[in-house]
Amino acid sequence: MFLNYIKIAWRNIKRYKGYSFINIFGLAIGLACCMLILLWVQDELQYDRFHTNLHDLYRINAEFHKTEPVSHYWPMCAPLAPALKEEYPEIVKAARFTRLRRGQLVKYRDQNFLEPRICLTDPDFFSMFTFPLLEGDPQTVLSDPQSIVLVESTALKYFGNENPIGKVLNINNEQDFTVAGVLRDIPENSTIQFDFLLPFVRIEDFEKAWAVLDNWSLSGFATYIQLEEKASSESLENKIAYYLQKHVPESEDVIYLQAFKNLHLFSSHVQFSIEGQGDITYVYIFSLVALFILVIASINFMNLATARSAKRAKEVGLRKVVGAKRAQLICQFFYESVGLAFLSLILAVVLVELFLPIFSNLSGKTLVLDFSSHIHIVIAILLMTLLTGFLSGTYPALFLSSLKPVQVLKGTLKTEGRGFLFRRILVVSQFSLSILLIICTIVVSRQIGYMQNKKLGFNREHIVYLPMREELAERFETLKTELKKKSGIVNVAASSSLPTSGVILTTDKVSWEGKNPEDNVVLEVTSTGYDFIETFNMEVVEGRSFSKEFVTDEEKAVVINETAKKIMGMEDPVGKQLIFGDAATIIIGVVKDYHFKSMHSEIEPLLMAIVPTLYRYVFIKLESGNIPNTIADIKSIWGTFFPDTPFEYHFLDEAYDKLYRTEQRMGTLFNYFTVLAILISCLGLFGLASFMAEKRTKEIGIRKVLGASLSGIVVLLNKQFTKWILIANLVSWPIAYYAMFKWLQGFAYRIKLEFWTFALAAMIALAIAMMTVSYQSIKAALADPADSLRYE
Amino acid sequence: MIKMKEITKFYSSGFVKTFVLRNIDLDVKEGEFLTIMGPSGAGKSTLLHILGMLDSPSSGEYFFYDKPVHRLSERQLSDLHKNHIGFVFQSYHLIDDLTVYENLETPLLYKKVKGSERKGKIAEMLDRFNMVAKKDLFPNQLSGGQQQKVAVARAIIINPKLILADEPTGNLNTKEGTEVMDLLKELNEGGTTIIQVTHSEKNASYGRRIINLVDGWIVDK
Repeated sequence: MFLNYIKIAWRNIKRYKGYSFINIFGLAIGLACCMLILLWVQDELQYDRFHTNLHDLYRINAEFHKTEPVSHYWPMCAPLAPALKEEYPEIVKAARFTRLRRGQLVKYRDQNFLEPRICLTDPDFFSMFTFPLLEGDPQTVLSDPQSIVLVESTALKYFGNENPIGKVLNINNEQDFTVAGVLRDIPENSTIQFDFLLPFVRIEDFEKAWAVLDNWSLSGFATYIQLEEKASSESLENKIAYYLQKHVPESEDVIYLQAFKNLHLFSSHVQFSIEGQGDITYVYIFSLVALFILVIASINFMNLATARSAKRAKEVGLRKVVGAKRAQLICQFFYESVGLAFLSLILAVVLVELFLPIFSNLSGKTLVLDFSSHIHIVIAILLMTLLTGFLSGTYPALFLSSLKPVQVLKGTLKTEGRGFLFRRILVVSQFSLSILLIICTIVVSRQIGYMQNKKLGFNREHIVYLPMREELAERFETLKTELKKKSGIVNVAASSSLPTSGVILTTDKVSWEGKNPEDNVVLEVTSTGYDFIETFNMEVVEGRSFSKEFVTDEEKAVVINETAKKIMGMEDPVGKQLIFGDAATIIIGVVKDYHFKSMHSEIEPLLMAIVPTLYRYVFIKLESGNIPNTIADIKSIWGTFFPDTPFEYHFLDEAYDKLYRTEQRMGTLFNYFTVLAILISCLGLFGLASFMAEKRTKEIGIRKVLGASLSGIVVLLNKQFTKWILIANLVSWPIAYYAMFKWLQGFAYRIKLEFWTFALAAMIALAIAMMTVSYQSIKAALADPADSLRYE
Repeated sequence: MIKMKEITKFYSSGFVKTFVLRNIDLDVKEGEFLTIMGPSGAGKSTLLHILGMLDSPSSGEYFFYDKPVHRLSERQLSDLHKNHIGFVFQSYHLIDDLTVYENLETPLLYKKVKGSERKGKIAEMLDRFNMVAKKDLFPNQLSGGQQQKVAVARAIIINPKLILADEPTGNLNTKEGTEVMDLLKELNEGGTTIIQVTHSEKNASYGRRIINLVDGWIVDK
């Protein structure tokens, strides 16, 4: 019996090649998209899950209540971790962790590299986190302050096949470290990333500007703790919430624990995001997109299966005549549709294998399709395939099997009625989803465009920046003079931070004449050298910029931005005194607001001062012509100044792109998935249109005999599809509006949702649908009426 | 074997009831060869479909081997009908996507006949109807007469007690028609009850009893 079903199904596929192709291929695309997205989602959810102690690991965060909304951040002061561990027995382990801000020069014999991923941590690190040591003892590996640990690939880079243990690496031509351990390479889906680990106690060798280890007021280091098994994090949280105040009575920060497993996806509210950080919102959005695409594809499948099933009515009648029971017929149709669905699944797996590299590239992850490690996905996909097959078989199975054979055999059967309404609902919902995706795509890409093109308040074109090492700050002025001698260089400046990634310091220790003592003003502080404002073509709206003509500028002058002026409530700030920390300074100018963070956040009050020890970057504004030559010049000058340091430069544009990489990736992926969703919808519509045209062949023949024109018939056939798509628009608009409104709330600077976006989506959907349907309509209208009427 | 009492069939569309059969009383004994005749639209085919349990009457009682057909569930009907009744249609009604062999096999599959036995029976039928060479062809590759022979073979492969034939020669030429009628006669002589619907006097002459149907009534001639 089963064999008989398979035969019938196979012959049906072969006989209606076009339909079968649309049917199987459409579902396969849908399933493939779904699988790709699920792989991505799975990867996001599996982040950091490889740590065996995962459930006992926490990061210490702090809340700062003076800002609106409350700000959260993770950098803590250095003495906190050891003090907490000492005082609270439920904290069994604690480790500080920090990455050095800039690349460091690492030397082994005659090779040297600028290494950007050097981190410092405490010895507990190795027993807390699951980063297996290939060489060395996890208990003692970083206990010696002279020791260094590196990852496998880095060890290979420096030592080749030699045994790395005991080898001596020199950092910055100053300190020597002895290799005490080698770690397996860090998995890509780990929040903690590094190439080298140094003992945290050596931090002051790198951060020379400050005393760090005993300083309770200087924060900047991640603090991870491991609780005793089954210890309650809440009770500990209650005990330590105001711990900072014990040491810094005036502190307003409240500390709390964030579960380490939530670090990757649930940290978007925490300031200073870690590179590669995810966001649960995107996980939800993409899961939803996957669901949409699958629904669209399944609807197609069902739609075509039902449409085609009418052709099977005769077979059903005959089978009943020769003795088929209804249950047997139901089974037959279910087997058939589930079988087809699984055929699609096989094709989908092939498609996934084909497109996985491209998708990995787009999403910035290394994804592999490995059935054994993605058992959830396998089960989910199998279930979805089964469900799709089952649902699409439902209509033919239940409706056709209920027919009286006489009705079918006499040809009096009207299959139009019930199936027609059912199919109409399916097509409308399918197009609603497609239109929803089109609207979202338009809005997302407009928002991305807006962020990239919005006036930043400074000119970021043709600016390269060179990360500087600390001791080079002293030589900056001479370097600058040398650079400015070259043609092709417009200006040179230094600053503590990139104009895209915030500031070096946030403080509320400011006061000025006439300040209301009740007011709490939080200022962002950045150190900018002479010519910074000029290099970036920022506009000075009041007063003046820093200038060498005024000797006192270097110690006493500050420039504020417009927001700061507004918040401080100063009428005429130029010339007023501003006490900042314990230094008395004079406001010499007000600069027009510029975006010094991403557009997710609003422009905050900013204070610029000249503090050469805080310089971290050299900015060089280039003339637009012949940039490679100019860069070669810069490189040679750099070489004469710092022969031991490899030359490293970046364009500011790149840094700027990085700022919105998440949104851009999402935008690109969205584009692709929307195109696919529309494609699948159209495949279905195409199939359906040809089916309808076929059903109406006789009607079209009669109309032609009666004198209908070609265009008249095309309009007649297209009219009903137009109606469906208009209804689909009405369904999807409110949903799209709500979803996009919510998404845009996440940006402090955002586009308005305008009506034309919706209208445009409607037009696109309509145009695509019409193109699809018209092909069939015109074909039907051109057919010779004699052919269609011959058998009547 | 068959007992019908006051069988009536009508279709209602809106407020209008269209009667197809009115108060039909009919007895058929085992082994009979009955012919139903009458003009187009007299209700012949409807009567045949009701007899074959493909359609149900609007009112009246129908006993098949003393079982009250009008009161049986769909499952019981399907059992009754797959074990006892074979159908032959004017337009053959073979399953287009199945070969001759598979078309013959289908009723046996539904009757859950075992594989080896199935093969034997099909081979016997193919042999009897001289169709062995054509067993792997699809219906559209056969002539009308050949298709009708397959249809008859399919009807009798389950050894039915009753064969219902609706204009079995309607689409065939004379020679093919005679062949099919001879076949039915042969079956009848073997004990199978046959009820046929026909327009043709010649075909009617194969039967032993004729009833005439006019506008849904049985009329005596």
